[in-house]
Amino acid sequence: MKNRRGRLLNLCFLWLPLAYLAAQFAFPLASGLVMSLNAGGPSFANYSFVLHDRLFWHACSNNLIVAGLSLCLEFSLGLLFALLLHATRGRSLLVEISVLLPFLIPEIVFLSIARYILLPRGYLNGALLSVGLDGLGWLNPGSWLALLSVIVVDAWHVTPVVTLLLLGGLQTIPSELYEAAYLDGAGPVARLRYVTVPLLRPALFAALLLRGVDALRIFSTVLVLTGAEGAPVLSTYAYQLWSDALEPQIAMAASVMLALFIAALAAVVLGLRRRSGGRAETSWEYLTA
Amino acid sequence: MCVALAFGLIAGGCGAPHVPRRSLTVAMALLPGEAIRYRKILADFESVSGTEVQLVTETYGDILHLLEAESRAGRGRFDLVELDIATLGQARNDVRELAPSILAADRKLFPETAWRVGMMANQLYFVPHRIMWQAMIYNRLKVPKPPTNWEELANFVHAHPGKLAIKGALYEGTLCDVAPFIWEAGGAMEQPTSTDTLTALDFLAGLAPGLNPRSAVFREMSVLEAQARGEVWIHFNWPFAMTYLRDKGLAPSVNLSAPIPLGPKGRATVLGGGYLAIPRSAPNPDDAQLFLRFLLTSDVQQRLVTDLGWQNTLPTRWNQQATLLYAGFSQMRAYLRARPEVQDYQVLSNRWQRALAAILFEGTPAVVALKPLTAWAESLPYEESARPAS
Amino acid sequence: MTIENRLLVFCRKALSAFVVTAGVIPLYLLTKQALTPELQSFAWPPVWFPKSLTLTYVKDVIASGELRTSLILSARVAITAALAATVLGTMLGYAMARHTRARALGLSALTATRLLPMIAAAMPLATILITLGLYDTPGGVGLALVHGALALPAAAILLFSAFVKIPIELEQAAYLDGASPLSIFLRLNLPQVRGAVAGAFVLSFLVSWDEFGFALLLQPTNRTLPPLIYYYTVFGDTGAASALALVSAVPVLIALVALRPVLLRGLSGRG
Repeated sequence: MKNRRGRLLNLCFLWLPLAYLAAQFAFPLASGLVMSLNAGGPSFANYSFVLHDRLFWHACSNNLIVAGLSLCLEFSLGLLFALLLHATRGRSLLVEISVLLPFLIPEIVFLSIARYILLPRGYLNGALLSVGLDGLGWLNPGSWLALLSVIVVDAWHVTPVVTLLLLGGLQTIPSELYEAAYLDGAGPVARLRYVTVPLLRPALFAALLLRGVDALRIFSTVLVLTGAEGAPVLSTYAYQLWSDALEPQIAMAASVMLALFIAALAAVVLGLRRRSGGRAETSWEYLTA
Repeated sequence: MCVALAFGLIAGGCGAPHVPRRSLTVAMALLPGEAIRYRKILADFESVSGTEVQLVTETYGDILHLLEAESRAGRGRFDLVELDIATLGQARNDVRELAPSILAADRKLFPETAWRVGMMANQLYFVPHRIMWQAMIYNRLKVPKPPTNWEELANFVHAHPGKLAIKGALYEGTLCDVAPFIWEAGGAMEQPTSTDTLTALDFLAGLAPGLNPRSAVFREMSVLEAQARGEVWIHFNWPFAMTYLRDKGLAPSVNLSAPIPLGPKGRATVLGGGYLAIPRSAPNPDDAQLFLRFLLTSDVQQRLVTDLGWQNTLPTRWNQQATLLYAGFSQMRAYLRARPEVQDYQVLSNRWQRALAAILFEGTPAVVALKPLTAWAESLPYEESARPAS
Repeated sequence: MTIENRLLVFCRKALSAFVVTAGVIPLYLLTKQALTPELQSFAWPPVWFPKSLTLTYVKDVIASGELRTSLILSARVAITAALAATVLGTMLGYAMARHTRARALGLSALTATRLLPMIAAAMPLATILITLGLYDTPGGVGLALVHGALALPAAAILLFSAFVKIPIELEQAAYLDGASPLSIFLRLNLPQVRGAVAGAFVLSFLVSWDEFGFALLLQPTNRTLPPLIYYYTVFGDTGAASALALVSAVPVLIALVALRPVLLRGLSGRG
């Protein structure tokens, strides 16, 4: 009797939250899929529109460029910052808080101020002017510079997350290893190359997966800085179709393709991870960030 | 949750009236601030008519979707809906013909074009609620003599590259900036590759290299911000642009409005705003008609101007500062034109937007960009009512 | 000291300076814009140090109209979402801590949630909420429910890692004493993870408070703070945008800096 009640409790505890998640995400996703297959009757016309749209391919390539470069930037910086925090641990509260600050500010607040910095008559061009340089069109639609601005601002905002994940990894490396390497005559660079990076791999993997997914989903950074048309990515492309072009079904087709795109990439990465012998269990920590 | 439910039941139980009171449900695209002020006008109607009014605020897009859904279902809750002027053609089959007596209202409340836009096949379907049109906004300190015709506009762009902006984002606003040029050349959106239409587009394509580089993403408010910051000296916008600039202390001291530059075949500006209609599925259409009559009195219209800041009766009864601020808009009042009224307008507009982006920002020749949509655009079943009176 | 080490110290100092600059500048500019008259924010070349101060914009946010309405709406949505996420996260976290199969299932579901692009769920959800009458309501119930689901993974993992640390022997002993599973959970387990529950609540509150995309799509006219900040920003109301941003950032910053130790653990998954 008790046993049955226990099982009932556990079923309830497991399935209630999962049902809630399904109602909020899986059901809408599925109904989006159904709507995307409807163009005055069941058809692939919406997908065909998207695939024949130059803007879609432009958004796809921007998506990949932004995600790739932003990941490179935030991982180089994140590793540097994590090493810095690890080295100065506890001694400089100012540095510690400053590292986190860009992420602690609500995203939209950060983006709003980034926009004021990058506007043609914004603070960055003002600073350039005061040292006698001409300003640049940091946000000019369709330019490489606008794409670069999006990448840098995105990295600026999320590097703290990467830093924290990597710092967590650094703290698990026993200091004896460094001492041994030092006695063997390894310099700082060699210690980084042969001790830190290999042992950081699990943390790096978690951070990479988490940030890779977020970088592909990028939406608000683009919308606030350049507008949906300035440096289109798949999210803003779908949003434009939905809110301006009033073509909800085509918009759903575009967003379904983004979801599939992300799911496929994640499956590949997780699959590689499993094949290289890593335990899937160790990667749950990325979920909390 | 349960508590709220219980409260709801109790309140519902106690409040249920035994005698059915007359009630009216209206959907309007008002922002929260506007809705507060609009409710006062509704309260007056309630006390005059004894009809209870429930105001639901939604975006224009959502109202249109609601209207279509209720029409399909054959029953609905809305008695009156506000629709964007650009979607009237699309909404026509879902709304009722209005009694001719509505037209007995003071016709002078709105320009004649604005009334005609609400008529289709000589029947009134839509009543103007708030109408507006575009004029040219210019920085009087940088541009003491604003360009008055196309040639002067071209000279301005060559002399000051980057200082003219158009709203070129992929949205309806792009057509509000471009359509007047097409009309001023004698062309039409319905005939994308007619000689006159191409004259206008070639003129704009000639200006394109000198446009402000952010034109491809500008919308009403972002271009206005650029004007306020001095990044842009001339652009085209709605009357609320002057209100914005005045509130910032940047008009009339720095910015003023002027007519849109004269084209080879005349002058034109685009009519915009919201129209009211009674859905086919309205439960209380008679009360809705009553409300329309109340709304179309000059007293109420005057309150819409003073309390809500709408420009319906422009340019009457304005103080000196307003006369100065809205001078360009007053002068454009005689040159209003509506965008094509047709069921497929949204698709037409989307295809035009894409073509314009290609012409203005990617250097595609106009004839190449527009060719693919010409045959289709020319064959659409347009309503004739919104054509300018000859 | 070798040259290499001296170089290292120099790099460390330069990096610290860079980090402090990059972290502090946005906050400084934001505060400056919120407290100076708008014309100074529009000036060119930019005004770096305010010539005069004003509290107009901040007062507007706290005292009047649209800004205040959206402040209240944001708080309501965030509290509802945090409650939903905390309660359900506690349940899921417990189930995952006690059963291997539940753990695997829960992790896959939470991972899938993390992968989902906002736009793909938000657009169909708008359609669904319209039919349910929960779209764009003044109380923001529909949005709060989504935010709850959005915050659920973090809350569940936080609680999971707390429950996992409680030895199962205690539970078994209580079970043999005849306690019901529910009362074991409520009286034995729950009190031991109070800290994690509080942490999950705060974290979920912040997730909702910061969330922009769903709020933009699901509450087009009754706006929460992030979309309102967005609109004020791109609509050229610099003073109001900055004041609103400041008001929405300051409580978050205070909370986060105060809770730094807990959150550092939470963020790096070592709850």
